[in-house]
Amino acid sequence: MLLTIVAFLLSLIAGKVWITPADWLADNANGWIMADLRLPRAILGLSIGAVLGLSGAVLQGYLRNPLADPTVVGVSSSAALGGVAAIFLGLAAVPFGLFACAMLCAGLSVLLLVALGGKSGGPLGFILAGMVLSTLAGSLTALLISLSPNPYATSEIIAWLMGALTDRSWQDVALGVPCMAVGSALLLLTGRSLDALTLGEDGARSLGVDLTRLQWLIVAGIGLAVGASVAVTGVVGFVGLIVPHFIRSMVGERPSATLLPSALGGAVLVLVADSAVRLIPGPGEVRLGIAMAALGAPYFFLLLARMRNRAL
Amino acid sequence: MTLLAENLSLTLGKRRVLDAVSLSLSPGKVTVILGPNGAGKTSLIRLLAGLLVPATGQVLLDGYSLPKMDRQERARRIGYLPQNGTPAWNVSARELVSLGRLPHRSHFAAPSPADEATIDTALACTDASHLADRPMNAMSGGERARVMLARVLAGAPEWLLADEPLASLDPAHQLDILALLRAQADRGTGVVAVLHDLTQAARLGDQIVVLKDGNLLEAGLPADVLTAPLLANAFGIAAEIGRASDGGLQITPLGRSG
Repeated sequence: MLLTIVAFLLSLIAGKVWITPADWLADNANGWIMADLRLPRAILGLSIGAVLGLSGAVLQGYLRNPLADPTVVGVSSSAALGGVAAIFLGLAAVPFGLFACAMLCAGLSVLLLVALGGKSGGPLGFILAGMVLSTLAGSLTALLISLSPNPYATSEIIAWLMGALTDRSWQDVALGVPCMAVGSALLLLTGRSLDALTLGEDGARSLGVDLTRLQWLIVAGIGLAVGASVAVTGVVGFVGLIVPHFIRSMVGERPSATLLPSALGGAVLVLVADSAVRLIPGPGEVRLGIAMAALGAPYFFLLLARMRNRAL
Repeated sequence: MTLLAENLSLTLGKRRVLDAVSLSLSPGKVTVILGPNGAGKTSLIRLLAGLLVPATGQVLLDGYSLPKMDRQERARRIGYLPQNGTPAWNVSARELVSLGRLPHRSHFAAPSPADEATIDTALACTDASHLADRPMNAMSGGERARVMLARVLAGAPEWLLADEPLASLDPAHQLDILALLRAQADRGTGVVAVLHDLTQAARLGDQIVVLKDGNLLEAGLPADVLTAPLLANAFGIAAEIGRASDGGLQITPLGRSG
């Protein structure tokens, strides 16, 4: 919690222009940057990081697989397809157009996920349905990119897909944060059932867990929370994968014990990474999605190296 | 307080796994389900636990149909130990056993002192107290099996349904678990266990149920059911049936029956 607060404050202070707390409320350029750029950006960074960390922890618990994250179940890629379609069709210029398209596709993906995954609420059907959706949304996104009318549209789509918190406004906060809050609340209700799933599906059912209800809670929570996060920032990968891994090494593997710490850890990671991308010298900013991927690859390399050492 | 299976049939895919099986189970008794591989033993015990919905027939607990019973109530009354239970996460034995108390706790409540005491007792019953803080991945198969059984005992169920509870246990711990199941029955718990060892089944069971190809071949007292003709019919084996020095049945498979 303390780390999250420190990361949030760092995100407010750090950037091409350093703004000290004394200037936060000043009626000058620094004050305006703080009120209109840094604060909404930090709030979104906090929310998105928390949502991605929490979603990763919930999905890993549900699928009983430490390699699961929101991209595995196809919600991220479906929301991204909605965003890309909005840019392709020129709807991104319409107020709420991109957000609405991304959320619509996230919602549709959730319904398809449940329909394809089967009524039993079993994780295996869920993950297979997610792979179908993820592949389908990915190929349709690639199709739209290849059909984009001009190079400018192509580059706009690709830049959006890479994910960033640059130039996000209070409107993005007002649209995205309520959906993310409701989605996160739904996901936080799953802890007890995820613990029971440690015993497998039969074990969980025998403890009174309703797997169908659990599946609906998860898809609704992920659809709202991750859909909104993609709608306001594009795709930011690896957070949902790395953070629960790291948290498990600190708090143990009981799924419910990892949920809140993963949300806080995700917020810290995104806020610190977003502060770091602003500090890299040069005319523009490195996209947040690229920075996360750059962090994710060495993290998993280290995990792999540790596993190999243990095996030897 | 009876568990009644009425005319249970189950189809998985296109295969008829169980066909018109009816059973009456009593509290305070041990019922052992026997049968060759693929006979439908696990399907029957899962139906009795309310984890599967039969194609026809129903399971009644005190007259209430299981699928219609409140899930939490069912979970408090029926404890189920799955076959080959390996936990998905490397939690400690104590964390795993505490899952048995979930149906007794409200949604966000932490385990109460009474829950903790029940968990301690369950660990002690299965000779697993010393394993309480050990991660599940750092245990032998037998230790893990005992902790998994402790998890079911922690729920203090009226019915204890165990699918192959002796798998991966050494002979000493097999005897301990058999004694434990008998003690549970003596305290009034209805115990149902799927076993493979015929002698252990004969010694543990008050009632023996033999399945073959999804059909109920025979149900009754061990000495009445476990006869040479039935073993030849059910398992295709010739067996010597005698009495051990303590008077208990001893069944020694000699070879495949002609």
